[in-house]
Amino acid sequence: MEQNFRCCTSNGAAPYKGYPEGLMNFHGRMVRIRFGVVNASSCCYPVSMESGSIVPGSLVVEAKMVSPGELHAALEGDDRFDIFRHTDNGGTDNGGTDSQCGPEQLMVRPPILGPAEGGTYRVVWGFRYRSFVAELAARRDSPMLPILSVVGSVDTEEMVKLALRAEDRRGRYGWDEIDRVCTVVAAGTNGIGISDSIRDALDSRHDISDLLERYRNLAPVLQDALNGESIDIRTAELIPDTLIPRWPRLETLTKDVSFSERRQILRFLADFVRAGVTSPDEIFEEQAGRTGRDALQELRRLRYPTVTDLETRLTEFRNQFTRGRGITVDFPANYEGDYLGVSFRITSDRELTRRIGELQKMEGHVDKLVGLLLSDR
Amino acid sequence: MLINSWDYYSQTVDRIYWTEDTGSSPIRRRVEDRLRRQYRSDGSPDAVLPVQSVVVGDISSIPAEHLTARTIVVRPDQRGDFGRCPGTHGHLCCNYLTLNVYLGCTLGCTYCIMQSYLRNRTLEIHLPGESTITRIRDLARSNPQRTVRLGTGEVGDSLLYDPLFGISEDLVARLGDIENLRFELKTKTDFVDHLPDIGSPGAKGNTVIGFSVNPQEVIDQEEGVAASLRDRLAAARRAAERGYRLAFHFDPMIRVGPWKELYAGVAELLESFRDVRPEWISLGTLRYPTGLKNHIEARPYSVHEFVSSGDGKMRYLQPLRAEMYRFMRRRLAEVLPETPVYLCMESATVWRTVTQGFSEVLPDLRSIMQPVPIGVER
Repeated sequence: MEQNFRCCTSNGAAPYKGYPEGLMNFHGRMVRIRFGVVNASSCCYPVSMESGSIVPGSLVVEAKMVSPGELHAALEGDDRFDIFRHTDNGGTDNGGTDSQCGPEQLMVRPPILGPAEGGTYRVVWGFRYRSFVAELAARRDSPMLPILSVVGSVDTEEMVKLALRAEDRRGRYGWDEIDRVCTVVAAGTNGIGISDSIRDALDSRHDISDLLERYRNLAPVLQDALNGESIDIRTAELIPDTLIPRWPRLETLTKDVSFSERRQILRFLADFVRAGVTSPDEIFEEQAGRTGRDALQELRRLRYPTVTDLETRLTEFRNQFTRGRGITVDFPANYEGDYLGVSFRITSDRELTRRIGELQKMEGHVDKLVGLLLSDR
Repeated sequence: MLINSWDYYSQTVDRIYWTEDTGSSPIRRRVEDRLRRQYRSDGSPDAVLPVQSVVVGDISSIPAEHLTARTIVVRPDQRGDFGRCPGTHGHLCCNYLTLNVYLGCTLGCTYCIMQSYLRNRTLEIHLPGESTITRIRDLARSNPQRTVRLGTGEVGDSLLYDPLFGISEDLVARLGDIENLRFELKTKTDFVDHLPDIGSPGAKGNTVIGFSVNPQEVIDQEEGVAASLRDRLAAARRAAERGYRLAFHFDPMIRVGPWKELYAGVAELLESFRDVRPEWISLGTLRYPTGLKNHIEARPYSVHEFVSSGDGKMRYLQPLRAEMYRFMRRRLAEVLPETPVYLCMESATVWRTVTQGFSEVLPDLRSIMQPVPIGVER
């Protein structure tokens, strides 16, 4: 396993065969290594198979074995390129687990390092292994570790491409990650902007530029909420400026509710403020002591007073005349119509007689109820 | 507030593209003459006119950067430009016939469906062809016992661009002699002065000008650069004096704060038209397809109580709509007792509750709302 491998990022035209495989001893644990799977569009292969295989003009990357200490130094160095902000537990700011940063992962998806001044390395991708590598570096008997080393100079855009290919989370990057990638690329290309290939690697289904512009227009507290996945961008955009300073109170109000319930609460509040129905402080005063679903229910009542009043009255009726009587009363969808639907199941003549008796108790109430669907009083 | 038509065009229209098959139209000559007359009093060349008129091979020849609402494309009418008002699923239709002439509008009413799709599209003008005119004339003549209602205000304002193009002038001349045809020009402008006189002493013509009305507070907030209520009503009076029949459309009615007071105020103003007996008044409450939701989220009315109706459009909760219609019908019955009032795109349930059953309303409306067989549908 000490041999050098060469690797190239390719456009898919490069041959893709002959994965070197082998077993490596990691602290008594045998790990099967299968070089080459950086992702589907790049591959590793032994130098001996190189002839005629590297796509002209493509980036050349060498597979090497380095000591854990050397890799650790690169991972902890000042000249880092951690656009995904990996956390110490191996995940990213936006998720990730320990299972993604163990020895097997490192073998299959080695860190990618670019050249740095003084003959050292600059890590382009692989920060998720920081904790694991630090642990190995602290031991005397640690084995050499594989890395993919970029041969020659590499510009910012290429580094981003490499990192994105290695990260391979298309469509699942956080808002802040997309922001960082685009900022880094824009800085590296004198503001020309991101290329289609980077755009596609980030998210092939949405217009990244449009989303990013919308994200950047948000207040930082809303950006944080988006990154924490507690809110969607459309709702974030609806939050009026006057509610921003009160965000902590909003968070309290939306405690212990589902994503969808939180969205409803926030939209109701935004509606009230935007329409000038009430001030934010009045809302919070009214909602004092309420959180979660209680708050949602109350806000819905305030937002749709006629609808909720109608619902309440119709439900009261339904409970009064149908509970425990085997009769179901339905109202028209969205209360559009002038009828009630009544249904029941029967298994005998006797049951039918009983149901009819129950139905007759509704007499004298139906006109009033249908009237509710037609009148605001 | 709408300024005079020529200032409006110079500020909002950059160019007019005529497709090759309309390039030799007399309407093009008229438009270019009018542009020169209005904007070139000093004899300067056409190239400096604020609105350029250009003939192109076809629509695909128009540069992509010109495919905006600042461009008007003129083309021949198309199959489907004449037909029944599409109405809406599950709601009663007033059996109006529509003729698409002016497609698109730049008045900027916040509630208008065009807000959601006109952003990257041109305005279009479809020149009514001879066969379309003949078809309309034949249709009216073959149904002498019916009143055929036809209008050009379904997909655009009938008069906004008419002082320049004059198509309504032509249509009035071509359709005005048919006794049982009520040809309606619907507008939120006061651009009526270019239209020909059509009355004779003691007799009205058959053309109707339908003014969309709303309280001035709603116009100020929601109707972009449309004419003020006062200007629309003044234009209605001028039109009536020149032989036009009138109609008024309270559509969309919006439940703004003191809506009863505001709408009652408009109804009172209409009392001054009792002498001309408007042909009809329609009532419609605010409704919008869900696709428009994002565009209206910042409007105060977006927090009103809307629910999804049978046709998928959002409407005020049924009892709220019924209340608005009942209120307005009562007020209008007081000020214009002889004018029939109908509901636009409403459910049978709401019709029933507002009119206490159809029997009360049908005698008045029967003549104008009965469907007319038009042969091949759109």
